[in-house]
Amino acid sequence: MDSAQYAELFLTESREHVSAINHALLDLERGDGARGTDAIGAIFRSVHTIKGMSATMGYAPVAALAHELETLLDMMRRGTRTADATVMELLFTSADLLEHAIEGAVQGVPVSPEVGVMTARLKAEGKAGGDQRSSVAIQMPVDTGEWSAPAPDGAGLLVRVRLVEGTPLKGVRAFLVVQAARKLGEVAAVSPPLDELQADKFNHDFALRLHSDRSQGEVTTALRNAGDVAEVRIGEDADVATPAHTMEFSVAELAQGVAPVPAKAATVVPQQRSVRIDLRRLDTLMNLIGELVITRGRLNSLAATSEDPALVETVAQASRLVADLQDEIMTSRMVPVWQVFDRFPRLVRDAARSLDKQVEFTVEGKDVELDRSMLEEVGDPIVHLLRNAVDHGLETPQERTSKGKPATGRLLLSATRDRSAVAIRVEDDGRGIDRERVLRRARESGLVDVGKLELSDEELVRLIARAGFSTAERVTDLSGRGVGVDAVYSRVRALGGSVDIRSVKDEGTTVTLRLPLTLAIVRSLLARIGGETYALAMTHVRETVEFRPALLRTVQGREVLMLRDEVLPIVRLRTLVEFDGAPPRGLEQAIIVELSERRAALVVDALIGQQEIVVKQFDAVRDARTLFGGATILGDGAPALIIDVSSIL
Amino acid sequence: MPEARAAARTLLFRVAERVFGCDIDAVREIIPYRRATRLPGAPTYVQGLINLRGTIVTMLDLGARLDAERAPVRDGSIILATHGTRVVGIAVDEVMDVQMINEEAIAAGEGEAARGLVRGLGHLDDGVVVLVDIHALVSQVLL
Amino acid sequence: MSHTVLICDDAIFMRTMVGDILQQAGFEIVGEAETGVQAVEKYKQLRPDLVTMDIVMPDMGGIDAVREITKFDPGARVLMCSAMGQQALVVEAIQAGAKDFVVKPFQPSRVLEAVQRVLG
Repeated sequence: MDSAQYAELFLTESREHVSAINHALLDLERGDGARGTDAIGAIFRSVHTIKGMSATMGYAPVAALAHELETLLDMMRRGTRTADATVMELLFTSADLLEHAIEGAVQGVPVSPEVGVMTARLKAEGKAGGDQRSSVAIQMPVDTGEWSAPAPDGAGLLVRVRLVEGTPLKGVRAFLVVQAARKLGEVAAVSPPLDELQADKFNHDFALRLHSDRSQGEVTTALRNAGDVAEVRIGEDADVATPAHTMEFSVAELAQGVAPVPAKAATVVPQQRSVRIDLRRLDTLMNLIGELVITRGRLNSLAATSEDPALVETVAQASRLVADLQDEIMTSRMVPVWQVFDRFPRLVRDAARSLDKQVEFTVEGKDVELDRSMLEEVGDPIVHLLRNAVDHGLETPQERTSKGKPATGRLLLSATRDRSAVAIRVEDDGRGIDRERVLRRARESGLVDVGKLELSDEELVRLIARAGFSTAERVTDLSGRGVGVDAVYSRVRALGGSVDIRSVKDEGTTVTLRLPLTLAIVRSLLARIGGETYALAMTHVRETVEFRPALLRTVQGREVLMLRDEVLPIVRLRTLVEFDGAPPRGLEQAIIVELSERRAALVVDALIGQQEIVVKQFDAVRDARTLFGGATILGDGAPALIIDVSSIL
Repeated sequence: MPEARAAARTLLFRVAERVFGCDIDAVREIIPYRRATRLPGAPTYVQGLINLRGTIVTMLDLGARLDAERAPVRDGSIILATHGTRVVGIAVDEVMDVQMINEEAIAAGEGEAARGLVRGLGHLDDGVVVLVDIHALVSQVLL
Repeated sequence: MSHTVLICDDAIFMRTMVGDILQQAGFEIVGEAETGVQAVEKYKQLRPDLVTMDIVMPDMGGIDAVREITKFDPGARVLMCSAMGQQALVVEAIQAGAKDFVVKPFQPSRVLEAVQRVLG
């Protein structure tokens, strides 16, 4: 594994820990008693892990900050510091800076001076609290390099041991040496005393008295084997003042102590370690499977005209294998939504604080999985909705109390999954969207009839989803003016999803985003207009019917389709795509498309059939219809446009 | 600045009866003409979308861009030009040659220059070549 | 036969790094554990020649895990992986039965030295 891969692993894991820290901090801020203690323990562990990893990577600023943070947390754990407001703020800020330092370290950019300032501040806090680890360093005697430990009094063999300079945790090493001596006989005395040794309060040498029937050679070997031992000297002092034979000796000794490790051939394959795959590889795999799906389409259409049963059977088999392969790869790309959701509690807390609002934020369905690229794309829209809810949806505690609501507002983020889509819901119990205002604005802008007095949920969505249509009264740094649901709406639509809004005055607002499981491959219905082929995502197709004249009605001067008891507006694809070729021959087909509660009959010349298609983006062209959610490549290699159903409803 | 411009390697191509040139550095590759999928609503000089080994590429018709009356190119070649990270196809009747061409400032009054697409003129042994600014052409079409 | 190793650490990063060091030196990584509870379970199941044990882990820390493992197999060979500033904990771990320790950040040579000492 090269260092870049370690860096990636470090980054992924550190991010998870930072997220865990933020979560636990929120718990700590809310809870008390056992819950608080658990939270401190969790934060401590995460900080500790980050410290170990960053030290290993050589990311000194991260390691230093984590170390000081850990000191403070240790004090909290031992009860010598309490989680008061100052400490909480210190911890929250440190968590942010830790994240910043981690990102910076991996990208190789210099970290903000704030990191160093915070490290120093935490260090000072640690000292103020009388932390032992910091004080150890101060009390440590100066290392002279001389034999310095006095020979302990009493009988027994005098054994002097000098550790290698720079031995990590030398106190523990000395303890291990003493343990080794104890296995040879009885250790009568140790100098300095064992507890001082363990606390690192010695230079590199110490002495002990040993009663043992082993030979001096055996004793020397045994103690050396405790590790990091530069020299063992046995017998009463004659030349203790003389510095030892120098480091060359010890290094040579040390080298001797390390037996060459048998270099095993690569035949030993560990069985239980999972394989990590570079995300770019997964993307490439996804692209390749996309190409393969297209090729399969082509192969299937070729086989359809063949009369060779063996060929037909083989193609069918290959087709199934491709489908299985596609499933596997899709599954490997799925990640749980918590990977993105986990940063939201902190975000909501900060937003609520800056607006002096009280919010109880709940997240449900964290384990629901979504394609990685889709999840990345949908993060921003959700942030937007959450901020909107805190900023405009939820009222201030006073306002809520005066309305007879609990002072603390509720905000829920949930993810649920059905067969082919994931629904992400943001629900608040705030003031609801002001329909009066929306209606007034809409009338002023001529978007609705001046006589219109009421708005349905559908009309509401359509209005506020229009670019620039925002009713925010105040401009705050959370959700600035002009960026409203329209931004969310267009983003989600670009992802092949849909937005649904339910809002009741003074009861709250629920925004639901429905997203396909993946951006890349979609089951679609192919339809024809003249010689042109268009695709529609099956998620929006309810059914198809023959477009018989008997089903046609005219309502208020407009043509509608009567299907069973349902009246459906008619949309002619021919008109939408401005097709000016020959008129359709024979019976046309109607595709009943639906999106939440909006439906329409989309009339096409003919249906080609269902097919898995690979969604590809293309460059936006001036003046072209915003009717398309992308393009795909058909079996014959020609591109076909994908109709975005939400744009016609 | 235009006067000081050194001779540049230029791809020469023909649309209807006229010879055009463009900077070879902007050209990624040349492929045989293929029909594009019509893109509803797009300007007439956008022939539509083509499939370039799995990537969807917008194809323009240079002739139609310069003269709306001209019949669309239906045969010949597609020059795939790069513009930033995007690739655009330009349908032409024939790709001719690559030559070192000295660019001259364009005479005033040329209708094409008004469209901001023509950088200048170049002289060939047997005539004049209109030098097209690919980047200007693309940025007029793509958003 | 190469020696078998069980790696216990709550950080994938650390497990990967220790695993790489040991694997390159010819050891066979037979298992990994993320918590103390897992470490004990996997020890009983895999009976590895060597265990590398992180001290700070969720769901039973490393020291308690050493205690449990030693109770099950007094001959177990456990190498503690510690960070700076944990001397008291490492001493406790050794008293609980760990044979040696290495300090993060890990240097491959030091890890291998310690492993050799533990395997004796």
